[in-house]
Amino acid sequence: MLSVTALEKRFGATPVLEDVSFDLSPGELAVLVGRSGAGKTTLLRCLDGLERPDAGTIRFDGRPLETTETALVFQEGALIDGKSALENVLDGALGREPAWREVLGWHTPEEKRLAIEQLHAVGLGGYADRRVGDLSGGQRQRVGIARALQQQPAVLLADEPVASLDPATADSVLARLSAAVDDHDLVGLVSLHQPGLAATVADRYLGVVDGRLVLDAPAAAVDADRIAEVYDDG
Amino acid sequence: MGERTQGLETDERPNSRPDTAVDIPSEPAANREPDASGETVDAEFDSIQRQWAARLAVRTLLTVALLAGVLATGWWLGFDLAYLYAHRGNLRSVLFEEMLEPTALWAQLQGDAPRLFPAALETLAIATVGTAIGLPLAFCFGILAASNVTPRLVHTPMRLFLGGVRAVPSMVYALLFVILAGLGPVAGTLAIAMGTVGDLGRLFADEMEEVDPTPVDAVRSSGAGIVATTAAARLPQVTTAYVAWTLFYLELNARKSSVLGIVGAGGIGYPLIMAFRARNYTRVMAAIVVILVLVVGVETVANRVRDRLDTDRRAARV
Repeated sequence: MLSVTALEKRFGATPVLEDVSFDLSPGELAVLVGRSGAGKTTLLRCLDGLERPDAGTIRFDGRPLETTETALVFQEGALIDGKSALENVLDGALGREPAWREVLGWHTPEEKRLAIEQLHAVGLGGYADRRVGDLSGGQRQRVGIARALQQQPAVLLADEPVASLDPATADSVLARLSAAVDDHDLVGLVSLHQPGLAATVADRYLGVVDGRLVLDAPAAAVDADRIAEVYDDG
Repeated sequence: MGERTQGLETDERPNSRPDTAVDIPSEPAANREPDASGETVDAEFDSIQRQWAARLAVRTLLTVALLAGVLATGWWLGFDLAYLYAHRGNLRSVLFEEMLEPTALWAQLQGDAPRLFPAALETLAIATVGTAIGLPLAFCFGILAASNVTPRLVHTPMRLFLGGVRAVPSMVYALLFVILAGLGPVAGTLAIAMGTVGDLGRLFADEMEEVDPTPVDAVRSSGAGIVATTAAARLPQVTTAYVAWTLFYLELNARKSSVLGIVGAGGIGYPLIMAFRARNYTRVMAAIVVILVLVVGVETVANRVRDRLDTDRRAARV
């Protein structure tokens, strides 16, 4: 169980997150909605450990959440273009591997095998040695998901993972994310701008307006109007 | 009859789905499912292992070959560690008894200051004016030499021209310009300018070729010509890099111009070479100390300017 309590984050004098509290269970995929600038990205970055919250706690099963336990899927993949798909996926394991392995490019057979399995799991079998610069947007984003899974996280986060994809590709990428959450019993939190897409995968909705959590409800209890309100507020 | 049909069906099931039958060679694990590529995890893992092993072998071989090449070339040059070790006393006595002897050095610095400081100032002036003359030329030639700005007919000869300018060392330019301008700082300044044109022009061209083409297309779609497009979409993308390179060249030129005096092209190099010829190593060290102060000073100022520009740009973006 992921428990966030009274989370606060300020950039200079500007408050970005104020008193954000919620709980998420393993196997549950929550969709984070809110307008641009509402604090979605900052919330995800705080959970991932890329930003330090100014106040509040983030706990997993009662103890502080470790950076290695959370994986974040970025917009447009955020891959290293000069490297192959396999090398990008292997980057996900760097939190548990000694640094010299990456410096020398000398990864264990177990990590390589796992990485290839992750690529197969996102439908990219046979793509291991392809340069990611040559891949399409949807393929790149799936490499991004494979990299996140390679980390073997307990919490899978994604920041607008389908923002620049066409609807069909967006569907398939989201389906992969949702399947990963189910298969590995992860806590999933994905920020999305498209309510229609969100409805296909959401088990739960979180909505932020001006850094405050205004919506926290199971998907069954949330209709389109309620989500539209989150976008209209402020 | 019914039984027979049933039997046939089960018998023939593998054959009735040939596409999957090919891919199921009695492997039980779920993750060995084939996908679009038809490759299983096992097959892909094996091929990657082979590929990476081959890559490692090639890299090891290359590293060993490179190392052997360097060692062989060093040997050909006459590198003899035993000789260097046997003569270590010479360097040690010059270094510690003459160059780095604190009281003698201090006395020398005080005595030579009236000659060294004007010379250092002259060196600084050579570097600054040389960079200032070279910069606009480097800018024009650099942009003309960028393959994403000008047609092949322009940028290919321009690249060749810049390469030709670069092929001649600054010291040789200094010797040539001494013929033109006579002994003194003018020859040094022209030599520094030539070096700046060749090097900075090439760097400007390379930097320009790295710009993001999308905004360039966006501006060009308005019907703007090559000059307007370059000014509107390309230059803003390279400004920071150009400023950083120019400041770096100012530093480099301060260092370069401090030795141009060796061939009579002005600056602090002249007292330096005279001291060497007189085998007065304490005086050599005094000149080196002044050069050090000069170079570090220019570098510090350049870094300050760079930091200021960075913060300005960051502030402008927020």
